[in-house]
Amino acid sequence: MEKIFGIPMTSIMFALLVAFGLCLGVGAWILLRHRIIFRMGLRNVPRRPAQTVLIIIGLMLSTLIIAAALTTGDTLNSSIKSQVYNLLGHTDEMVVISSGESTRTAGPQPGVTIPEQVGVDLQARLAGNPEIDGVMPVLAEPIPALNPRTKQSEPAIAGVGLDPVQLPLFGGLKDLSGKDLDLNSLPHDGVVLGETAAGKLDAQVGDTLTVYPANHERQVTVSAIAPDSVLTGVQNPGDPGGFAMPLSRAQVLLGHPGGISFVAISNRGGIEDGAAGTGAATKAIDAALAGAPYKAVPVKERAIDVSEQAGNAFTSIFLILGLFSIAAGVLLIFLIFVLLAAERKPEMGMARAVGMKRSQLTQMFLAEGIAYDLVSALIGAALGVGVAFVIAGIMGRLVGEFVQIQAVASWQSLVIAYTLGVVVTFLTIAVSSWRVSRLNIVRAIRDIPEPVLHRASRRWLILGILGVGAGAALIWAGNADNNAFLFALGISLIPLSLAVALRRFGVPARPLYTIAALLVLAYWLMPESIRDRIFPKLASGMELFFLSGIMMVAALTVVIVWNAEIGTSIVGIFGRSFSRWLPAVKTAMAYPLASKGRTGMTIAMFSLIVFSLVMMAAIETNFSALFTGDGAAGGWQIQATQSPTKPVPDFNQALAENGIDTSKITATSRLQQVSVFNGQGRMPGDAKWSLLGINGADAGFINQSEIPLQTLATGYDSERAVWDAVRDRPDLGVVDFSAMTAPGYEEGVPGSLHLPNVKRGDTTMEPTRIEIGDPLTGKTRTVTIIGVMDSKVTMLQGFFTSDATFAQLFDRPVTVNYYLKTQPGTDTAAMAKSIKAGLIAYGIQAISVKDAMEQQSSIGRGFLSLIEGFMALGLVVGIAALGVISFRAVVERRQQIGMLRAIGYQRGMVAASFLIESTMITVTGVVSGAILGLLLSWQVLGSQEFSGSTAEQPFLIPWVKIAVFMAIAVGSSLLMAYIPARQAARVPIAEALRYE
Amino acid sequence: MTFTIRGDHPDGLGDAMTETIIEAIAVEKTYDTGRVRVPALRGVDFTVRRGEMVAIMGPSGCGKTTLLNCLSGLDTVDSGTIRIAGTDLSTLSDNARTTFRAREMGFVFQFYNLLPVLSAVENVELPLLVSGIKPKLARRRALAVLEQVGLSSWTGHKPAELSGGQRQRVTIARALANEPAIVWADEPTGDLDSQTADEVMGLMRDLNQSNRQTFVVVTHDPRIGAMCDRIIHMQDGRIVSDARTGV
Repeated sequence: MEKIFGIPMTSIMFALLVAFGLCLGVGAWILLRHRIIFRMGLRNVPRRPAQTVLIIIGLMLSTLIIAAALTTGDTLNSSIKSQVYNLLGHTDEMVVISSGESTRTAGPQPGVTIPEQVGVDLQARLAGNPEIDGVMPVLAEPIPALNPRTKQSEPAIAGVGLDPVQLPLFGGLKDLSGKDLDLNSLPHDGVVLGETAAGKLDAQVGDTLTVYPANHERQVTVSAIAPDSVLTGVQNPGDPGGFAMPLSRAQVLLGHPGGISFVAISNRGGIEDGAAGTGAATKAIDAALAGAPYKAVPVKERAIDVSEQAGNAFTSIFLILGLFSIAAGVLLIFLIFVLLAAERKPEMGMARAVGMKRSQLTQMFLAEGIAYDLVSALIGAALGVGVAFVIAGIMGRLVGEFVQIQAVASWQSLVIAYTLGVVVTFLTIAVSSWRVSRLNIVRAIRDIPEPVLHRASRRWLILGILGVGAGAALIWAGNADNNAFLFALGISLIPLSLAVALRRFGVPARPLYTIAALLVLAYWLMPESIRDRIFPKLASGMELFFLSGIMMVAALTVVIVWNAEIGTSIVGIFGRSFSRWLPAVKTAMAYPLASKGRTGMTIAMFSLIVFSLVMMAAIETNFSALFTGDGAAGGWQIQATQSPTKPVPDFNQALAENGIDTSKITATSRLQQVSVFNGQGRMPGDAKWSLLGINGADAGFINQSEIPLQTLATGYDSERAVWDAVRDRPDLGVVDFSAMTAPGYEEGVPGSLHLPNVKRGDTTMEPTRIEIGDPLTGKTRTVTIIGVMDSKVTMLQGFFTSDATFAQLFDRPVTVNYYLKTQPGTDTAAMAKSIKAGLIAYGIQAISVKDAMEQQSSIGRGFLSLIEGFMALGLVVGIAALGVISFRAVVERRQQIGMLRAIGYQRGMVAASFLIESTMITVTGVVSGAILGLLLSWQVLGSQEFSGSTAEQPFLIPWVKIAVFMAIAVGSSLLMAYIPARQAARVPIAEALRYE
Repeated sequence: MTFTIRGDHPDGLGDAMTETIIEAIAVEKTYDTGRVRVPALRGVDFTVRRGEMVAIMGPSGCGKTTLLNCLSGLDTVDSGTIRIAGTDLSTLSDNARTTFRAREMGFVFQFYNLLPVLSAVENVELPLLVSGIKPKLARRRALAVLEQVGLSSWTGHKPAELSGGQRQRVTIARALANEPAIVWADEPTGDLDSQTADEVMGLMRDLNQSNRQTFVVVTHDPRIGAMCDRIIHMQDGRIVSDARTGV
C-alpha cells in the first residue's frame, strides 16, 4: 500500500522510525547514565517466568492488531493488482465511444460497436510513438452458449475477435501449459476458450459448442483452452469470460461486420511497468483521436487504483475496528505496570529510603518496560502477519470466485507495525512508570494500603478544570468544524472532568462519579428525537463508533465499580441458597470491590471488546434480516435476466412454448434497467451529473409490485395513487431511499444523486424535478420524483419510471429483467432452473430472488464475521489481564490465603474463590459490553441514518453470537485463572502465614 | 466426622482442668531448604489441660511458632504424635483437619491477618460461615462477639480504618466467634504498644476464664508470659523448662 488514512506510508514509516529511535535513545541514556538502575530493571524480567510470559502476551497484542491490519491491506492490494495484471496483460488503455461519462466508469458497452477503421487509423497515427508499442482492434460481445455434450449452458459468455497480426504485441494467446497459440492456424470454426468459461460449460478441447449470436444458432469448436484474460473475454474479476477467434471471423459470427467494441492499447514496457506510462500514453491517444467521438480509458491504471483503494479501505476498517483491541491493550499495559509496582512496593519503598530518586524508579521501570516492549512487539508483528495470513485464507474462500487472494506482507508494513507497537507501548509504560514512582516511602516499606482521601488533591482540581476547558473547546471546535467526533468527545469530557474537580471540595466520590458517568451514558444513548432537539446534527464517520465505545464503556465501568456493593447485598440475600460456598463468594466479591482501579480496568477491557463485537453482530443480524426480508425485492420471487443481444419477443409466450410449467406463475412483469455506471441524474441547474440507475417498468411491474413508499409527494394521498401516476403519466417516477439526505451527508453520498429537499424520516415531499441522462448517447430528460421507496426495498435501486418514459431516453440495448411471482409453496429455485434451461436459446439467466439475496448477503456476512473474528482477538487482552491479576493475587494474598485456610477454608474453597472472582469480572465485563452494544445498535438502527429500520422490523438480538462471545470469554478466563487458583489452593498454610 | 471438645465443659473448670486437651509426644520437625537442613523441633513432649492458658517463650528461632503451627495442624510433623482431645492429627485428611480447625480452634496472629477487603464484622463472621452457620445467625454471633471485645461501634469499619489494638481485638473476636476449644495466639501483642498489649492480653485472659477456653500463646514478652497459667521455655527446638506462674 502507498497510503493509509491519506498519509503516505513512507512518511508514516519515517516518522515512526524517528519515534522508535527516541524510545531506544531513552533506553540507551538510562543504560549509559544509570547502569545500575538499568540492570536492576532488567533483573526483574526473569523473576517470575509465568508472569513475564503474560506480560509479553499483553504487550504484543497492540502490535499484532496493527501488523494484521496492515498486512491484510497489503494482501488485498497485491492480490487485486496481480489479478489486474493477469487479466489485462499488456492492455493498458481501451479506446471506446466518448459518451461524456467519466473515465473512472467508462468502458465498452454490450451491443455498441465502433468502426474497425478507428483502430486501423490509430495504428497508423500511433506508429512510432515512444509511449505505445501495441494497438489492436477488439470485438467483444456477450452471447448465450451451450455445450451439448455436457448439457451445461451459460446465458452470456463473451465472443471475442482479435487481430492475429497485432496479437503478439499483447503477449499472444497461450494454452494452459504455456504453449503459444496461433489464431490464424485455428480451423474455420475453431475458438480458444477461456478457462472459466470452459469450467462453466464443462468443456474440453474438441467439444462443439452451440452459441446463439443475434438470433441465430451457430456452432464453434474448442481448439484450445487458455488462461482467463481480457483476450478471452474477461474484462472484470468474476466475468465468466468466453472464447477468442480471429477478428474477421468474429465479426461474421457475432453479426458486426466491420465493427469492433474497443481498441486495446499496449504501452511501452512490460505488463507491470507499462502502466507507469499511462498519463503520457493517454495524452498521445487522445491527441491522435482529436475530433473523433472516441476517447482513451486508462483501464489498467484505474484497476490498480481500485486495488489500492480496496487495500486502503480494508486496512482502515481493520485498524479502526482494531482500535478497540488496541485501547484494551493499552489498558492492559497500564494495568500490568501498576500491578508490577504493587508487587514491588516494599522494595521500591526501601530503594527510595536508601536514596533512590523518584526519577530513578521511573527509569528502572522504563528499562524493564523497554526490554519487554522490544521483544513483545517483535513477536506481535510476527503473529500479526500470521493472523493476516489466516484472514487472507478466509477471504480467499469468500471472494475466490472474483479475486485470487494471496497473502503478502511488505517490509514497510512490518516496520510500521513494529515501530508503532513499540512506541505505543513505550508511551503507556512511561506514563504508568511515572505514576507508580509516586509512592509514600513508609507506606511502601510497610506495604500499607493507600489511605482513602475524603477530598482530592489540588492536582486533581487542576486536572478537572483543564478537562472542563478542553471539553468546552472541543464542543466549540466540533460545532464550528461540523465534526461530531470532537463535539461528542467534548460533551463526554465535561461531566467526568467536573466530577474530578468537585472531589477537591469533598463531594463524596460515589454519587459524584456515578452521576457524571450516568450523564455521559445518557448523552450517548439518548434517543435521536431528543438529541436532535438539544444538540446540533454534525457530520460523523466510523471513528465515532470507536469514541462511543470508549466513552460508554468507561462511563458504565465507573457506575459498576462505584456501585458494586449492591451486588454484595444481592449475594447476601441469596446467600442461603448456596451457604456452603457463601464464604468463597464473599471473598471473591470483596477483593475486586476493594481494588476498584484494577477491577474497573479489567471489566473495561472485556466490555470494550464485547461492545464492539455485539454492535457488529447486532447490525449484521438486523441488516441481514432487512436485506433478505420479503419486502427486499418488491414481493417478486424469480428474476430472469435477458441477454442484451438476444431479446425475447414475448416472455410469457416463450415460457409456454418452451415447456415451462406456468401454472404456478401468478404474475410476470418486465423491468428495463440501466445500472449506475450507465445512467446518470442531477438536480436542474447542476453542472455535474451523479451516478443513477434508471429503470423502466411495465404496467405489470407497477401494478403487481409490493414496494412500500416512505415519502409521498403532496397531491398524492396514497402509495397506490403514486404508482398509478407513474404508470399512466409521462415523466414521473420514484427513487430508492438512498437519494434522501441523511444526517452527516447533507451534501449527499459522494457521486450519488441526492434530493436536498427530502430528509430521511420525511413522510411527505414536494414533487421534485430532476434531469436524467444516458451518458452513452448524451440524451437527457426532465422527470419529476413523486415518491421515495422504503429502505427495506434493497434489491431494487435507482429511479423508477414507466417503460414509455424510459424508452424516450434509452433506445439502445439495455438490461432487461423479468420478474415473476409464484404460488405459495412453489420451489422457486427449481422453477428458476427450469426457466434457465427452457430458455437457453435466449440466454436467459434465471434465479430465485431469495437465493440471489442470500448469495449477495452471504459474502457481506462472511466479511462481517471475519471482521468480528479479528476484533475478537481483543478478548485475548482481557483474558491476559485476568491471568496477570490472578497470578498477582496469589502472591499478594498469600498470607491471607494462609489465614483463610487456618480458619477453615478447604482447598477447594480457596480455589473456588479465585475462579468465582475471575468469572464475576469477566461476566460483568461481557454483560456490560453486550448491553451497551445492543443499546447503541438499537439506537443506530432506529436512527434516521438507517431510515429507522428498526421501526418497521423488530430489533433482532444476536443471542447465539452473544452466547458464543460469553462462552469464549468466560471459558478462557476460567482456564487462565485455573493455574493461579490451583496454586492458591496448594499454598502451605504455615509457610503462607509467615510470608511477608 | 464429629468432634465434641467444646471449651464450656459441663463439669466445670475444676474438672475440666484435669482433662488433657493437647498432647505432644516426641515431636520432631526439620526444615529442609535443599541446601541446608534446619532442625526446628527436636523431640518435644508436653501436655496442656483444658482451660489452661499456656505461654510458650524463648529466643527467636527456638521453634515456638513451629510448635504452635504443628500443634494446631497448620503444619505437619516429621515424627512424633500430636493429639488434640485424643484425636491424632496425623490420622486426619487435609479436609478433615481443616474442618476440625474451623470448628474447634481459633487463631490470633501478630500481624492480625485480617482480610483487608472485609469489614470487622465480616471478618469475624467468616469462620462461622465456613462452619456452615446460617448467614443471619453468623452475623448475630459476630456482632455479639465484637461487643464482647468492646468493638460494637466499629463493626462496619475495615481493618485499615482501625488502630492496631482494635485490629487485634477483631482478630480475637474472630478467633472466639466459633466458640473454639483452643485458641492459638502467635505473638498476639508483638505489634502493639505496651498499654494496648496489656489491654489485649487482659481481654484474652478474661475470655479464657469466662469461657473456659484453652489458650496457647507464643510470645517473647515475659510480661505476657507472666499473665498465663504456665510458661514453657524453649531453646534450640527443645523444651528447657515448664513452670506454673501462680496466676
